[in-house]
Amino acid sequence: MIGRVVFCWVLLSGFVDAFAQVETGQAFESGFEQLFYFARGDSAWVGYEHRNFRNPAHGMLYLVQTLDASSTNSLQLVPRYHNVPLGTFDVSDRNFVPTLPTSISGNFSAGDVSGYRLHIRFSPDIQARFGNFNNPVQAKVNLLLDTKIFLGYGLALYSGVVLPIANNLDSQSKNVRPGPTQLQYFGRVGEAHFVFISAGTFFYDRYGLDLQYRKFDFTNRLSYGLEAGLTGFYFFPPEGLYTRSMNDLYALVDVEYFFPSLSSSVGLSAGQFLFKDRGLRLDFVRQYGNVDLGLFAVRTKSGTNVGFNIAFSLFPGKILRTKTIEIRTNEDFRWEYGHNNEDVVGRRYRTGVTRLKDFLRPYHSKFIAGQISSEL
Amino acid sequence: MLGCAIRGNAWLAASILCLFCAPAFSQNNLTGKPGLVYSPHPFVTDDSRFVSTVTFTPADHSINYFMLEYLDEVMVSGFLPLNDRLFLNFNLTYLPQLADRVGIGDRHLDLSWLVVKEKGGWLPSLMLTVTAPFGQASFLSQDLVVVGKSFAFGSGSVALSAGYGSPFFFFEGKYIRKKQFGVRYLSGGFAGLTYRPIPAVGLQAEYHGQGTHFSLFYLYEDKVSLKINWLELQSFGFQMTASFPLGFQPREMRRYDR
Repeated sequence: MIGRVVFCWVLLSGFVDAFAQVETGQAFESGFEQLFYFARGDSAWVGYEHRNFRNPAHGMLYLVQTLDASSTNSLQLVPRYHNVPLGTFDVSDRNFVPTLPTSISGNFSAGDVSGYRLHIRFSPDIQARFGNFNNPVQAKVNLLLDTKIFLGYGLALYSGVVLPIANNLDSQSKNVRPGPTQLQYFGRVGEAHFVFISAGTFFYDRYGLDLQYRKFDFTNRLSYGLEAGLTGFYFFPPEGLYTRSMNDLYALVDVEYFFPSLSSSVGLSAGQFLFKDRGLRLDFVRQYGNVDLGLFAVRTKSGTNVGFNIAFSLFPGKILRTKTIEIRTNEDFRWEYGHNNEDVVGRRYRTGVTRLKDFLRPYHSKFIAGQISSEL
Repeated sequence: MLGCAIRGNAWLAASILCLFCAPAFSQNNLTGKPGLVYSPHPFVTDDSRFVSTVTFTPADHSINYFMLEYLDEVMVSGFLPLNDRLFLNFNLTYLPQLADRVGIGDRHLDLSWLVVKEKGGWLPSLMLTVTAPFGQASFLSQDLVVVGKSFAFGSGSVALSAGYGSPFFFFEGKYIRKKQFGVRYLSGGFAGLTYRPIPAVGLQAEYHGQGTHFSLFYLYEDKVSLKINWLELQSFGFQMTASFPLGFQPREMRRYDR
């Protein structure tokens, strides 16, 4: 009898040992959300999302630091965006690919959203115009508080409130008003095709429908995509809502090439910008890790403009974090300076969330590997 | 034979000297570019930092003839590396004497390309700068070429630079002479010398095309720098520079590491 028990125990312990164990408690406390893991043999796949970091390599590094996966021989990280898994990062060979092994994809593609906290995000919203002789610094400064409520697989409701601080740029009064509010869907079609669709109100007083598509294989230097929107003008005067019809179509196709050794990309977009303004835009973006610096030149039938843009995470990042709520600053604050302040050239609206093209760019396998190789 | 031996030794000495070329030359001129007082030089030390500069220049040596008079000038600049050879420089001018009438005066945007980067040997650095031929008027226009070479000795260093600035600028769709609008900045040949007995302290002397300027600077850990400009031995200008890293990790990760 004793012999049988010992035999069963040996058998069982051998069986348990064969499975990799992953402890995710510390990672959850460190801001990771939607943490799931799946183990087979001594391999483990960990799915996660970290919304405070604009650079996916930081999320990967931080996860490896905060995860206890000591019993695992082969660790694979599956970063998510909008609850959708993007690809697989193999920690040992530092390779990020858009494929999800079929055996695990079901485990990571469920619509469960219970692993998200409610985020309240602060960001300043600044529009400025320099150089007018009588009124040299014209600026509109608002504080935006926004949040995103996840509804399912790739689906979320985004909304916020605008608290005006100062305005001598236009005649809009300083009433507290709803911020951009949208229903957003992010999805994958096949392995390396991504779509982001949003419907609702956007910045620059636009409302309507916005569609973004991108073909981006994380291991290929060339990517291409389409951005299109059908929008109209709206604003919230103190006494209600004013809208004009939704008849302004904007549609741009673009190609972008990534130079891994320079961590830089060059892209060309062509099509119709906002206000039926047709032309070309050339972009150069250098990714530093936490900061992106860009240079652009745009030529349309309305004129020419050159300038630069900068994207970075706002200080301090996390302000408060509990099991259910997180208060933080914007992880991807973007600002663009155009040298031509006379003509409206190649204008687009902002949706309130990072554009698909900008969000996918740092997921290039070489860009991730270049930052992680020396750290792990 | 003797000549050859001497020449050989000179080459050897020069090669050894250049092995110790000092990298720390992150001084900026009044428009926020790496340089001396007015003139730029082609030494960019760190391409992973954003450099911001504020310079005060008194009216007698300010560079703009703004509304038919020279006024005290405060120039706020940003120097952004796009990679180790391509740099963007951005300026806003503030005129304290006209603060109630003009908040921000002239704006300026230019692009520099480090065509040749000095290494060991005698090859100097060479940089080209082009101003966007764009907008209504570019009074701070800089279209220039500059070469430079640095030498290290012990803990100190010397850097020499020389260049030529185009005497034309872009105004309302065409190029016209800077002189015509009283713009007294980088028109013709210029040259400069930077001497650092120790990395933290340095002296600079330059001929900027119209006169001679001197400066004394102090650098704290390559992050903050203070500079006094002695303009044609007549009046003083001041400059403060701060540089910020671009490739840092998020604050939360840094705190966790600690």
